[in-house]
Amino acid sequence: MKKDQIIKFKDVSYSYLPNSTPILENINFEIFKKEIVCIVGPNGGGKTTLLKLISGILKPDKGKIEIFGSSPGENGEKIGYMPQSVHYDNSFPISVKNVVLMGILGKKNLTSIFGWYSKNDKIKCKKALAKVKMENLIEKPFYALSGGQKQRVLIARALISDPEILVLDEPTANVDYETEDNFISLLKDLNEKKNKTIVMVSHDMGFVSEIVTSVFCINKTLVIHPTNKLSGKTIQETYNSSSIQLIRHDHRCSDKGHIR
Amino acid sequence: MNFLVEVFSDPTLVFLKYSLLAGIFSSFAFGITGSYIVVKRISYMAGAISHSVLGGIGFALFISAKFNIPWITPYSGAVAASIFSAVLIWFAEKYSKERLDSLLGAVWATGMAGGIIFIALTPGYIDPMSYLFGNILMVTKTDLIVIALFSSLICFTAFLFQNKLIAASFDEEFLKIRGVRTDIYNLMLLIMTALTIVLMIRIVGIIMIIAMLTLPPASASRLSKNFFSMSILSIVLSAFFVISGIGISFKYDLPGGPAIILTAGVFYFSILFLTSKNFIIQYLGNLFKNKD
Repeated sequence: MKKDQIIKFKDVSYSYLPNSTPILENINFEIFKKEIVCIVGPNGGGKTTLLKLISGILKPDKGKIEIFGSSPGENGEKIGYMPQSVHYDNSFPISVKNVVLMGILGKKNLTSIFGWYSKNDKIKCKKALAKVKMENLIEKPFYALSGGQKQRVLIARALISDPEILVLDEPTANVDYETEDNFISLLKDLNEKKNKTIVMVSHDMGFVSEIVTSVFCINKTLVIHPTNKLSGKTIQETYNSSSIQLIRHDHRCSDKGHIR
Repeated sequence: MNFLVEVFSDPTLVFLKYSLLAGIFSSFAFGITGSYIVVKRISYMAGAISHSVLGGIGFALFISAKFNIPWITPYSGAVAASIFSAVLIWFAEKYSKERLDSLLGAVWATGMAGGIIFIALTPGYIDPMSYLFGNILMVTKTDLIVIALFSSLICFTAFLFQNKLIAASFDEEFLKIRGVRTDIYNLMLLIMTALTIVLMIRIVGIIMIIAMLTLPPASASRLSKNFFSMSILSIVLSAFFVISGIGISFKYDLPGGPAIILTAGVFYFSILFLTSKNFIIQYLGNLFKNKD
């Protein structure tokens, strides 16, 4: 049975300044429905850039990206994006409730001309917050939360619209062990029961190996590794080695057998 | 309070009544638009727009006198110039790779320079001072009606689009992914800013209008936890500054605009000090501890 292809990158390159060294070069991959892909790699290797290309915030310099068969940006409402919480203004007066409700705003639904929230939207907001165990803080100002709490609110915002793909940038940074545990079971649940495709960046290798189906190690370019060979040693090699720059650990391509 | 009773009962003080009412009406627009400007940190854009208004005023005065067209008033020139600058800034931010602060500085200064040149070219004597620093004697009944209309329009727009405007100010990137045209909301906010600025030019003048846009919301944000209470408090504070400033200027025979701004400034710095008092005490305490 052929699996549904959700995300496709073909020869994609991207650089932040014109004519400078690209941060991502000749990236090729496909992600299929119900996969959980984890992107790892050194700082400045292009992890967040890759997520931004998927979500359509950035446009590739070269190559082609397809999300559900069309170019990114056209299917924005099928993507639940969670950025890193560090980029927020720490004095912006907005409540947790309103941050989560933002996840409903879009171009398609009727209320969207003015962006008024319905009663149903508010129920969805409570449900989304309950999933990340933040429903008690619904009226709190967003800036008053801890780093980990902010991240949970941002995950709730990504979940509220019930998107097909979840794109998460370091969802487990700053969170304690228990929260991380809850989060893993939440992702498992979304993946297994609701067939969600998940793409996330994580530094946390323990977290990575537990639920993911593929691991992309990214540092400018792409090299492919089978997942079953994934061990502390290979990861260390990825981070330190200059010859291996972007490595993908993947069950699907173990037949290619390109590990050294 | 005595001052208010006096103004509204004494028919010889009708000009004061007009400027007080104009100040109170425009406070609604100032409180709301100002709150967006403060949380979005675009007061420098508002500064550029407000200063460029002098260009429009000068041009309108010049054209009106030179070609004898009475319906081109300084006010209409001000509206045209502020909207023009707002659109220019929006366009440049969206499409040009130029550094935004350089561009804002250019809009800021060329607008003022153009205004002064046009005023100099206009036949007859015109004192630019009243445009730069305001003159509470200049508010007419027609102005009052225009101010009330514009202020209601701005408040209504802000009310209607509140969720999207707040969301776009908080996290533009996220909304873009969801297909929301955040550029349109940025433009809406800049045009709201442009229209708001024009409302109080008569009272506080071009140079100090930026203070009325930023000081009430900045003080309010120190005392409130969400955007709604921040904007309501900004409206109240803005009206309070206008009333007490005009009161002070009336009682001590001082210029009205500066009296309003000074009241707002003193209030802002007091709030700043009171809300960070513990921090300052702690800092000084540590300073002395380190010396021992």
